Amino acid sequence: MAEPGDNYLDTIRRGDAKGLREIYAKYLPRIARFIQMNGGSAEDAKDVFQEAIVRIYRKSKSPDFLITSQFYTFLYGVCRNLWGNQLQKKSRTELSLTDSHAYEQIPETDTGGAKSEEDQLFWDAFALLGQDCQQLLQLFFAKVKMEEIVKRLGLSSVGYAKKKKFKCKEKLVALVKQDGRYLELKLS
Amino acid sequence: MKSPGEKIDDYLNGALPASEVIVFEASLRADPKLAAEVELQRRMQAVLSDSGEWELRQTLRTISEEYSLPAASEAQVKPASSTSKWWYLGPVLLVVVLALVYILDPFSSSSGEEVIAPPLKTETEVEPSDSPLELTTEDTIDLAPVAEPTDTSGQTRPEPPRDARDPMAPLPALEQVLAAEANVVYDFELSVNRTLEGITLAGTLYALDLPADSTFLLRIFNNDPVRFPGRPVLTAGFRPEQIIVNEDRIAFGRKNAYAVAFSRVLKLPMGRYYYLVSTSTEPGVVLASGRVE
Repeated sequence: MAEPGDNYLDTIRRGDAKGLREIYAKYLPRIARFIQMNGGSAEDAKDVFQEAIVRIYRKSKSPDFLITSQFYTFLYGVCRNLWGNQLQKKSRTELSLTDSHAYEQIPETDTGGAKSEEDQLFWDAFALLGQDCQQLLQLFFAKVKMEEIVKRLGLSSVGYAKKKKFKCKEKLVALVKQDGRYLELKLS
Repeated sequence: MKSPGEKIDDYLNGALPASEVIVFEASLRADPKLAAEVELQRRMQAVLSDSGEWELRQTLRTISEEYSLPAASEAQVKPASSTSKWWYLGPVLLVVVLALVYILDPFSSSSGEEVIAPPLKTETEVEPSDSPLELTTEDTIDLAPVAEPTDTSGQTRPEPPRDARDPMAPLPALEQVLAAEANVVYDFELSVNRTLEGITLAGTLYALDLPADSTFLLRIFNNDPVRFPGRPVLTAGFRPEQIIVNEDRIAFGRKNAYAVAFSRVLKLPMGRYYYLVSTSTEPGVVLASGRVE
């Protein structure tokens, strides 16, 4: 029963909504089952699943990245790492997960480790901003010129765009600093 | 006069004139608090500048909201086990499982095949009454070598010696079963894998309303023609559990979605293996089949 692992990697790389829906339909219930078997909720499962896809996206951008197993086996391995790490943080003892599938042992460094936790904190704070702030900051961070940002977002002037960018960024920094993970990760 | 925020932005974007960069960097060395602020913003900007990831996250969030997964049943919500808490179960389980294996497979000692003990905790062995995958039929493991078939005169058929058979060779009779049309009533999407520890089965069954206690039969065969169809290496029961994927998927063919998961600790020798799924009442009717990966 061959799985189109390469196609799914391409789907994730391109952010193709139709293909991503297929990945969700096919694999989310299975991952949810694993998470629920190991003390998590349906919402936990959705969060872990989403983050796993993002981790795979990041990995897939490196030219030498190759999945040697079936796509689901790899995805399961990433989800297992993510959920295992979350559980481990809450427990002082070594955890043993109940598995529902064979999985590929993926080194933590391959899926980001602490660096990815920092990234996650930034993205979580970013998601709390309004859509207009996200769009504006996204372009600004990508070093798009202010004049171009004004044009693309249909803003009234460069002055207004700068003022708005300043407020959005201020809010973003505040959200990051309010998050409990900020001190844990020693970002200050 | 630029505000401190604007200066940080210009510095991070390389838009600060060279003369101002020197002054600004001197102030960074003198003011650790400012330096920490600039470092935080630099890292934040580096992460959040990936427009591909931002778009992907937005798409995933939208898709994720379309899904409504059921809350875990009481049986499912159990914390991941802590090895320090359950360590004492190991020796007890080992004895129990080895005894069971001996009872189920009296040939194992003479076959030379090894059935390994399960890890400290597996879903079905430790808490069978809690398990959502509770088996209603007993597993049968049969790894004993099969005697050469004989004809009526008692002469051995002129088959190649069993040792000479390629364990990876396809078995035509089972390949034929695999090539048959998928069952339209019970639409299984399965993946069956052989791991170092045993056999795992996972997937989804799309079907009309199943009675609550519906049990299906999983049979694993190797490529030995003498074993098919009468002597699978593993026969086990599994029970799917209803899940909710999303309205569109369920509405397709008016079928419900059921999660299927099963694992069994079983050390199988290298070779080609197949799986067949049928109802427990009609084992002859194959509902799903495939190769064990």
